[in-house]
Amino acid sequence: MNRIGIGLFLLALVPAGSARAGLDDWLRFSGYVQSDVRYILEDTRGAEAGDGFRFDMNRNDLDLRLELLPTERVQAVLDTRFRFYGFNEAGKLTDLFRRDKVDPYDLYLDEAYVTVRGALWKKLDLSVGRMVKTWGTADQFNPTDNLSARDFSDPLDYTAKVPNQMVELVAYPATWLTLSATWVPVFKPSMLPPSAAMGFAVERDAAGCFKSAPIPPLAVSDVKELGELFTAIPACDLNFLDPTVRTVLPEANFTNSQVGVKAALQAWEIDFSLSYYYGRFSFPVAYTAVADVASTPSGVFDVAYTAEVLYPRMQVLGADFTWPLDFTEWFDLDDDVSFGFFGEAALIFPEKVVFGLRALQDGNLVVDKSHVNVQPDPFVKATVGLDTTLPWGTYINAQYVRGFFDEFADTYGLHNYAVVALEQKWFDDELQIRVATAADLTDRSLNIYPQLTWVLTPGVEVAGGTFLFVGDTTPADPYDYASKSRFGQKAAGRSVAFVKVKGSW
Amino acid sequence: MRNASLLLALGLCLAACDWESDGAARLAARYTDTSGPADVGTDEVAPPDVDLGDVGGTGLTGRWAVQVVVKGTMQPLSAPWPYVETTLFLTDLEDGAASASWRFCDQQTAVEATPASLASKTQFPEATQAALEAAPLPVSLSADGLAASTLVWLWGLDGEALGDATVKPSGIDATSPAVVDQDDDGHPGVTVEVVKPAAGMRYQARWERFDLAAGSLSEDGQRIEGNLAADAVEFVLDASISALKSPSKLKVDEGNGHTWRLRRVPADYTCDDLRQDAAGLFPAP
Repeated sequence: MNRIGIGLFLLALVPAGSARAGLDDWLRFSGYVQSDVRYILEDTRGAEAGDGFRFDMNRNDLDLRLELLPTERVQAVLDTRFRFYGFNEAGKLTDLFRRDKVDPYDLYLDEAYVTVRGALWKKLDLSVGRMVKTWGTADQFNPTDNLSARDFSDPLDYTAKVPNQMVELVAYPATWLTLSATWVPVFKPSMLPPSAAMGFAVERDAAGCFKSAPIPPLAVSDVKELGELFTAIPACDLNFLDPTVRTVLPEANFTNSQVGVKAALQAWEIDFSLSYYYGRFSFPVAYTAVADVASTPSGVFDVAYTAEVLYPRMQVLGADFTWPLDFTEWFDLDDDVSFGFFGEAALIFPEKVVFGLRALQDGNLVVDKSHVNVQPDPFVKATVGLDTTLPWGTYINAQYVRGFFDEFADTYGLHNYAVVALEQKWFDDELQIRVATAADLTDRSLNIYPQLTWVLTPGVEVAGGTFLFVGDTTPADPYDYASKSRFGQKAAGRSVAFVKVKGSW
Repeated sequence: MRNASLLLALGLCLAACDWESDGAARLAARYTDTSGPADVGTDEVAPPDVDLGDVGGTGLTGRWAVQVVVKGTMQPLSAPWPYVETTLFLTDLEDGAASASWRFCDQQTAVEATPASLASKTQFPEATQAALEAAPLPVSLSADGLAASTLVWLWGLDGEALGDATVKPSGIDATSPAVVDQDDDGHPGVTVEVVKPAAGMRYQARWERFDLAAGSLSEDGQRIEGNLAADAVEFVLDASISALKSPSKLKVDEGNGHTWRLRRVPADYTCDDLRQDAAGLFPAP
């Protein structure tokens, strides 16, 4: 059905309702402008040693959000964002004639949807269009939240998501029960931080000679055998070309659609929900790799490494709850002290993924290895946490996380994390310090995210801080795919300092 | 309720269990192994018929084809790969003589590499072939066959410079005084052309020792056979490409389980004939 068709269909569903009288009643305009500049604080986590202590990123966003409420039962939302990147990308003379090269930009359409309340049935809402959905009660680490892929193009923003076209029905059969069903026709993958490419990078030493190649998800003995093929050749005679990583995308058909259903219930003071998701894991999983070695007359070996990643299918049974605990009377606390207890778990039934690797030398097959990268066994990702606001205004959020956003039960496996955030505000919330950290309890790496925010005037704030990675950049075992440090590996990102200015209306 | 949940979980599991993305199968469909069969000579293939005509002869006198088979392992990577080295010589024996010479014709080494396509394939340049042919190996004879004797076969090494040539040398490199340019091609040692897995020239020295057990003429006067113990070491002195500089780390199987075999051939029989007929002359035991 084309867009006009959808629009007519929606209009037909709209029950007769009174039109809004004034402009303010049916039109809401909001948005923000934000500028963000970052500086790399180290020179050890780049593609080459010594790369660092330079500006890394400059993003300048203009977000415009329009909300239309033509009747009481219809809501239309349009949210666009212009993003200008502060760095010139003109690499050749002819690029200097192009504004988009000298001053590159992107246009984002973050949301564009229509909601009809009381469609078909008075207790049923229908939403159609480009939306972002978030499920779960945990703070950001939501294993049941799979309908909308993540947008990690900004490694400092764990909340951003990739919008997608979807159809959603939400029913309210009782005050304590909300049922929803969502259909996402076409799969979209998560966006990755620029550093993700380092996961497939070939490292070279100061002389430019081969140092290490990406570890494939094979048995350790197989990786060792593969490594020996290359270590038998002097490093400077191995010319590893930049690896090519292709994504194997599912066909756009019904079987590759995503479907989610959810029942949200309220009993006493506890909100909880049960959910089911059918679709795909939005982060890539290693699928194939080919190392094509070509000998040259000079005795140097050109090595072309081509890898493929895919998005495995999965079904997810989810459950989550949030329980505000009132201890004020028990412990004679002030009324402004609050506690919240929340938890979320996903039982994931994954697709089996077999990783295959071949090495060819001058067209001849010399290595043929495979390994079950994802076993078809159900596994659990979960988060449980507590947040509280103390009498002097300190906010604490502590979570135990089993399985990071991009972790699946593949050869790397699921790690355990402690995620803690502390916030303290002063001067009527005009000044805020927030320190967040995620510590990998499995490999003992962590990131630390301190930030100072100053609200200059309502709607305008300046924030500055750092985002630091701590951990080994090299794997503990050079032949073990699973020994890569979560936050230490270079693919996790660069340690940066940042300054943001944001004005909202 | 509990049973229903279990049934639901089981149902989901069964549904998901059918899902599979097989990267190995995907690559298999995309790439085919063009390396051909491995160069392992142990396949059971019927030996070709060899018609030598009426060779005749009753005593030792006459021309003989010689096959020496030595087994061991080499270890260019971490895992040892079994190999079978088959060397062919020609020799002219004479009744009553105390000794004879084995003249080199050919050597083939079948390696059971893992994977098979990693097995090396080598061949001798003309200069190397000529140099090895020009250095025959003396063997002791008995009245009715070969006497027990020790042969030391040197490639690119000067036996006198080694001192006691029967002792396995070590630490040989291109600058060692014992190294000679035996094939006179300007490179130390002898040159072996490596065809695969990486193509190039390897300049090497080699020491090999055969401790032959005695063997007697067969009743039909056509064969003489026996066992031997062997040892060998190979030194890579240089190579045209770096990938060929890795030592192969030969380790000959211990014991007396290696074999030597002589087969009577016509007087005008040549090395070319022998290379062509070898499988028929010396069928696998």
